[in-house]
Amino acid sequence: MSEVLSGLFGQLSTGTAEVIGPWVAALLTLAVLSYVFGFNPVFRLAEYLFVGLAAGYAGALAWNQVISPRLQLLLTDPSTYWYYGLFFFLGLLLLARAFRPLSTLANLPLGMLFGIGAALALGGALTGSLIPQVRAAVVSVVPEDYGPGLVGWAYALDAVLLSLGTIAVLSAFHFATQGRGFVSALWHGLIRALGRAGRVLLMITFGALFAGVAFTSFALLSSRLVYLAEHWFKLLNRLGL
Amino acid sequence: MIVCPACGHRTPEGAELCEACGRSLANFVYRVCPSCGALNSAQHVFCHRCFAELTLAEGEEPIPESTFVRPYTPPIVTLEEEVTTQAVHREAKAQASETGALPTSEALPGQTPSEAELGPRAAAPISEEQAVAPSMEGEMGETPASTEEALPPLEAAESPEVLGGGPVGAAGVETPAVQVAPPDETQALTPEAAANPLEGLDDLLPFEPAVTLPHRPSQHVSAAPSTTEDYEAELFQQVAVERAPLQEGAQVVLPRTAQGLPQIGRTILYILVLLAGVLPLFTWGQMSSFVQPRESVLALVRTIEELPSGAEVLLSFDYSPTYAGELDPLALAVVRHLARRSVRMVVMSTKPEGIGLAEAIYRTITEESPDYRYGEHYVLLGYLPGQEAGLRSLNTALGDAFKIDYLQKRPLGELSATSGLATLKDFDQIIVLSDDSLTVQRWVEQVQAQSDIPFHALVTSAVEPLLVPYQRSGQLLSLIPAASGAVEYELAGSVKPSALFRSDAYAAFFVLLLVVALVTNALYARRGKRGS
Amino acid sequence: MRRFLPIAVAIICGLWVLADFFVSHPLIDSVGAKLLEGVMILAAFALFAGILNLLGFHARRISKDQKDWGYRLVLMVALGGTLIAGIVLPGSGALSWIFGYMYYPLQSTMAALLAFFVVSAAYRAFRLRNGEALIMLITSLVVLLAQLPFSNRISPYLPLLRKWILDVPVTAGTRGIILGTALGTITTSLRILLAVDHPYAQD
Repeated sequence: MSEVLSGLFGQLSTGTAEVIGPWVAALLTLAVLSYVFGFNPVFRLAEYLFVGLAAGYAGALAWNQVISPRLQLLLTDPSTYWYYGLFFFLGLLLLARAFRPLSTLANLPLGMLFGIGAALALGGALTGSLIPQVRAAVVSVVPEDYGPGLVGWAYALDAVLLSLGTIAVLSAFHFATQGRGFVSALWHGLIRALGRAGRVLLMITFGALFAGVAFTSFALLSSRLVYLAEHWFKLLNRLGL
Repeated sequence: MIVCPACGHRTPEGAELCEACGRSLANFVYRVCPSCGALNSAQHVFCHRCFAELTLAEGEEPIPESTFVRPYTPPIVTLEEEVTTQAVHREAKAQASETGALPTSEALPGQTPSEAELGPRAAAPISEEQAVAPSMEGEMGETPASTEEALPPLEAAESPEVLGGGPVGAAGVETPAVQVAPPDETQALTPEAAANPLEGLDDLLPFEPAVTLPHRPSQHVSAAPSTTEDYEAELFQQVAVERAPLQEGAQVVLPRTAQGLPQIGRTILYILVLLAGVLPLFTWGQMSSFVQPRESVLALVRTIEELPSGAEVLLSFDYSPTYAGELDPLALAVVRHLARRSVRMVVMSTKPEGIGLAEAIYRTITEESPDYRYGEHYVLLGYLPGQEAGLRSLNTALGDAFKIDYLQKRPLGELSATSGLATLKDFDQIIVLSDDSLTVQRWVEQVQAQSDIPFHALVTSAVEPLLVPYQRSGQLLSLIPAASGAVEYELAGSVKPSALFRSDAYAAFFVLLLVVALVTNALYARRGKRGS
Repeated sequence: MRRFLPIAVAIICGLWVLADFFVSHPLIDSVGAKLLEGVMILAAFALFAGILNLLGFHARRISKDQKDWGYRLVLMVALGGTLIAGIVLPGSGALSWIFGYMYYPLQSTMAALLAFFVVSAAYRAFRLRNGEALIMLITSLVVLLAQLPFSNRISPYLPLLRKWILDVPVTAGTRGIILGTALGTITTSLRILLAVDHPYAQD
């Protein structure tokens, strides 16, 4: 039945869809751009429409790509794919979360999600981030290892700055009061000095991040404006203007 | 009645478990008075409102109400009566001090002899039962002030003016002195009526009821404010209403609009941004001749050039339409290059929207090169949910993660581009296009760290600084920001240009930001000079 | 029992997958792979739980006849229409049309609005109030200038300067952040695996 409907829809609308599609896209683009003049009903409509489309699209993909093929495998070969039945049952329990009286039923699948998620996060953070980054932070400060003359010294200085800088940034997030005694005072003073240097490095990082964000946002705007303009140019061309 | 700490249900005294939810009542906090229903703390034995016994179990008889001590209610005395009787009292004292005798008071019209003796604020006499303190057996185990205890007879004592009567207090405020109920004449000085230890004292201490009676909030006594109270209230109002001149350390806070961009300035700025955005339509890439690709772009171009024909590359379109304006041109440039090299591409996404974007890119490619066929040269695997779990499952078997392909809904083994692929190790390169540093981080942690496949990240300019450590540690072979990277890649890879003309817009944007920085600091400096 | 079972499942599944991370054994790998596939299935169901929640939320508001019921109706129609297009009419191209001509323009333009507000924010951010603001301003302008595709023509030192800024101070800053977040992730994950924290087992 769905294949028949799909075929019918495809035959009827190929040409029409390609004609009205760009108009719909252009109108929706303008609706969103109207926010520049302030929050208005047209923008609000576009907002709600977007939320509905996003949720529906994600749901359609989740069904087509994940649930439907595995359901078919379970129904055709239950002896091999019996465990899909167990996971589908847990998934139905998870749906109970949307209904308040039954929401505690979802604790079991949520437990599985949390436990496995925590394990993956732990293993990944340890093997993929912590160890490689610590290893990369431990670098040689001998100029000869980098090259002869001034070049070697420059790279060695960079290595020292990088190592110290990493420690300084970590020190910038130190929030503890000073303990008693000379050693504690010395340690606290050192951490505080390093923290100040860390904050300078963080400002440089934020400067670089701001530049990136500004560049990205402008690239997006330029892309949309050029799309709009090309659409109107094509229309004007078609109309012979 | 015990209030259950978990569900709030009221269970009768003596129960160990709550009737409603079955939880233990060992650590309950509140009790409900069985007489008046007031909420009392668990430590209380008597209700703070009606003084009924709280721990009354079923069938038990409560303590007779007649034994309760009633809250003390002093009589309402008018100001004139107060002044008159105080004057009389002072006169009597003065006489007594002259003659050396105890003052005797004469009853004023309307006063009983006992009232006359003890002063104007004589309250209604309390009965013997009233004078008995409530039973404290539950706590103290003995009743205090029993009639057996012999208390020495009390004599009327002189009291200084500061106690109880007349204008008292440092501020000259008349405080309505709290009186104790004087005993009957016949009981005044007998041990039997001496339950109240301060019984018979003239002009007693104002806090006497607090000593003899159970602790409770004091009764509100209405009284007309005195002149001094009026004066003080007026002074307070003046202070509260008036603004004190605080010259020292005063900071002038400018209204918010004065500090920010004015509306006209904002409009001009927006128009300039719009003009910069559409500039490429008019200049059409004048700056493109000055483009010089950076080292990381050249390295990726070299890597792809060195791939043998028929090599397998995994591409992951992990970005949403939000950043498609920046990433699509670079994605198109890389895919064009790979297609020209006859490299097989297997495409997936960890975001639902990513696969739709990939579909649009490959539609463009197949329109440009009709020989480039789906299933043979490229396959869209589809959306992979589960974030870390989905990526980790790629390490075990590709077929576990993707059962069918996205477009034709066929098992991977039936398509020639994926028939020979079992795990990630069968790929020559992995290229991830992402708008989010966390996604790339997940790829690095779950995939790259577990296998040694060359890994490239093509990201937005906003995200690039956050991933530099991974490039420095060698986990990412390439890290290319998409906005300028697309322009440079088209030139370096000799692919069909579609983003090259945008270099004009980027130049205009930089000039605009520079102007904004100069203008804002000029205005800021000028405002600073005016302020000083 | 109500709380014990989810906590037990979380610990057992979590420790099994963690073992799979570090140990290579046929049984551990096989069960681990099935558990990962299970998570993918549950993630898909979680999406549907979110959709049900969204539908219920807006349906309740519409039934109470609140003043913005029209917008909510549009949302529900869009959601239902897209689901039908994707699930009931999979090969028709309807889903691709919706994505290409509705979803894509809406989402991409919303992000494009950022450009106006970023420039407006730059007006305040670039004020030289103190030394830190000066550092941020200079870094932003240098990185932005060096990011331009023709920066090499302006000065060959610009790309080098940008590379140095990214390789030394920015790497130091972001590496510190990555290390900090990695340690935090490990701590939080251990708390969940050792059942110290169990946010999923609330009543």
